[in-house]
Amino acid sequence: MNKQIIINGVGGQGVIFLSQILSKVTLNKGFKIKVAETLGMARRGGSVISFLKIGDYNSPMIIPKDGDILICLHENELDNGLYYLKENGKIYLNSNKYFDATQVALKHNNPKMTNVIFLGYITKDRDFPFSYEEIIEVLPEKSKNYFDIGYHESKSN
Amino acid sequence: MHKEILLGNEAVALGLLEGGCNVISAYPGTPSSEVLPYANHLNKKFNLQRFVEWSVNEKSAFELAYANAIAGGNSAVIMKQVGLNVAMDPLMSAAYIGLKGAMVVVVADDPGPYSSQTEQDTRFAAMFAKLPVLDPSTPQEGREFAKKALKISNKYEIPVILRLTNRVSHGKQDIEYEEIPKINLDIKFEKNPQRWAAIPRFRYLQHIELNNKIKKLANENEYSLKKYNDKNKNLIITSGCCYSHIIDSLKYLNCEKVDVLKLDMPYPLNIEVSDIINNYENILIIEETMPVIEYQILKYRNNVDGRLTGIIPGEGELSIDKIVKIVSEYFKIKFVQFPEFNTKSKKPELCPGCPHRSSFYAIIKAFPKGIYPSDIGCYTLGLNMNAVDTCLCMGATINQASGFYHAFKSQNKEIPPIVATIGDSTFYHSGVTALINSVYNKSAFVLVVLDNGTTAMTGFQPTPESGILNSGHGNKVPLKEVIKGCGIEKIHVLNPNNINEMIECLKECWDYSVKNEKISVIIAKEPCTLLKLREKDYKFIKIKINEDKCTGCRVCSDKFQCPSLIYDEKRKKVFIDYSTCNGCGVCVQVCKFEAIEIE
Ligand code: SF4
Ligand code: SF4
Repeated sequence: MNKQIIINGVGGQGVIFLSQILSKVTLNKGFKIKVAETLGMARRGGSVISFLKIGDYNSPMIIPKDGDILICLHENELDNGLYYLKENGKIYLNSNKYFDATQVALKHNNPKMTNVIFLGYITKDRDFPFSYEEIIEVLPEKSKNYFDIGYHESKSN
Repeated sequence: MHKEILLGNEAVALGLLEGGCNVISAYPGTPSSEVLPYANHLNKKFNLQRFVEWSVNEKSAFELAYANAIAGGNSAVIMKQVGLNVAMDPLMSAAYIGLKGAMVVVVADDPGPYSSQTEQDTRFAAMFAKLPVLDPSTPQEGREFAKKALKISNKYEIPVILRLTNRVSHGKQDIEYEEIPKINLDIKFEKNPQRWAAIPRFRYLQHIELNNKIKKLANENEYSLKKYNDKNKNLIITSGCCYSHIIDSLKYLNCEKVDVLKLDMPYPLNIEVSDIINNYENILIIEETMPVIEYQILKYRNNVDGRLTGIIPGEGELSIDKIVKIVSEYFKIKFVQFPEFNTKSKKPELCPGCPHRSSFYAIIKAFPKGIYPSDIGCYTLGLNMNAVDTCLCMGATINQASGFYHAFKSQNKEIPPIVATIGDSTFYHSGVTALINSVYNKSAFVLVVLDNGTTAMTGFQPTPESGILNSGHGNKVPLKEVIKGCGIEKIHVLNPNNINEMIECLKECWDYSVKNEKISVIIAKEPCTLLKLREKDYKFIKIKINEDKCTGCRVCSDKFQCPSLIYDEKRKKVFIDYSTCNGCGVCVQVCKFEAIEIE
């Protein structure tokens, strides 16, 4: 499998956490992986972007308009992510226009779990390259519940 | 067998321990900060009993590690590129004197720059100091090169630099490793003052020796030539992370008419390179961020292109998109141009609930016309609040405050209030000598030490005040006592989240300082919010906006600038973003209409 995934949002939203989870899943599946993450200054509330390159790659950076999948946690950051996505690439956007993980997280009194709820939601999608079982296996205990919430929310949408 | 996804920095830590380092020291700085914590993690995991500790600054870290190498140990010292400026003094001398065991100097560069003051190239510093430098292109290579550096260091009795860049340090890769074996080194100090304490006459001889070492070493420099086609007349020469970008770029461009020569050690250059380049007509040198290979190649051939001929930009990161463009234009390969990158990135801000915000708010309230020198850390973000006027390098704020004072005073000009801010970790790093200098030279200003009990920006490394070591408890070095010892008579310790108290204290201190021609110090003591949030018994104060009282004056959102307080243009009221609010409750004090209430 050669797949290039972009995850982005703003600092504090858990972009890096998602990127770590999906990296672990990739590792468990036995694929090679290269990852680039924003660290340091920008994580204090600034734009955060993470690249996952699964398969036969050398560089951890994605070439503009070459990525396969975009997971965007904040609508304001969509353009930053789209810059790296192919014309026919797949977009998962956390937004009140589609599925609003932020609201669901607030409803469950845990806004910090927005990222995991969103991950649960998109795992349901047929085109998403990782399965429910693969992800739940690597999630920390306290996140599993919220992953389930997102996964099951998608039915009602 | 362990298989994990490791950061480049973590892979380097692994290599250092596998290579047998018994002493590893560091001062944190992006993008180098994760090396030492991972070395500490492995040290504990395999019960290796090595010394793995933070130092107060890069110079201290270097000198400590270097002594171990003189005594036959294997050392590593880790820092960011501007940290090397601080350690340059011992580094230059250590190159001459050499060592017995081994020493690798790990330096992480920050082309971009993303989190630094400069884009300086440590390979260039290596050339300046006449030290060999290895430049890995991936995390896995970072691990291998760490071990290789120790071997070369031991063989030639010379410190070796391992240069990383942010894409290697913060890139991740799947890595396999076995249990790390224990070591038993023969530590002894052989007295030899002619060497270890050489006077200038002997330094001259040591310089000759150093020149010989570098000549011999060059022959060991490994390189690899990736040949796509035997008839190729086009060549790219590179080192480090650029290599990874170039290989992926050529694949993206479906290009097989360009070969790639990768040098593991960009300095000193292997003579064999001069033969290789004769087989090619068009040669482009791609390296970050200065023409280190290019300068050395000029000795053999001058019709090459690169930074010196203007093909490669003189500043900025050589990101993969730039490399695709440069390579395709230079070698005339067709490709579809990328769209312009004209989206806006959100700029970083102090976290919601950050105690620095309270300090800065008090400072601009107390002295709207003040001068505010500041320093390096999260609190540099006080820029957004117009509460930071200068940021030069670690510890500079204090001497800069002193300089501003003497500038006005020497010309009999009215002296505006001068309030310098510095973080606690930065103060220990280089603030102490600066404070002694300023007291000695009779300066007058208010110094606010933003004491959040940690090195927050780089990942919460402990400071000497806590006395916390990786291996347990060390000795506490109390901040207030240090400041007193520097000759400061007026010191206040307070919680900046009591904003009015802080404002009064600032005014009183400035009055005292101008009147007595003395420096006064406020220790604004309150833990970093991100640390407080980790505590089980953290008291989250839930606040709400009373919309009847909110006049839409925007003081809380625009002056106090908590990112969780957002002004709604349509409704002309402020609302709270509960998904980011950290419940510090401080904003309640900021609204004079009492519209922010505790629920
Ligand atoms: S990490 Fe701590 S010190 Fe840094 S901005 Fe956030 S709250 Fe403030
Ligand atoms: S309580 Fe007020 S100042 Fe504190 S984080 Fe929440 S909105 Fe910001």
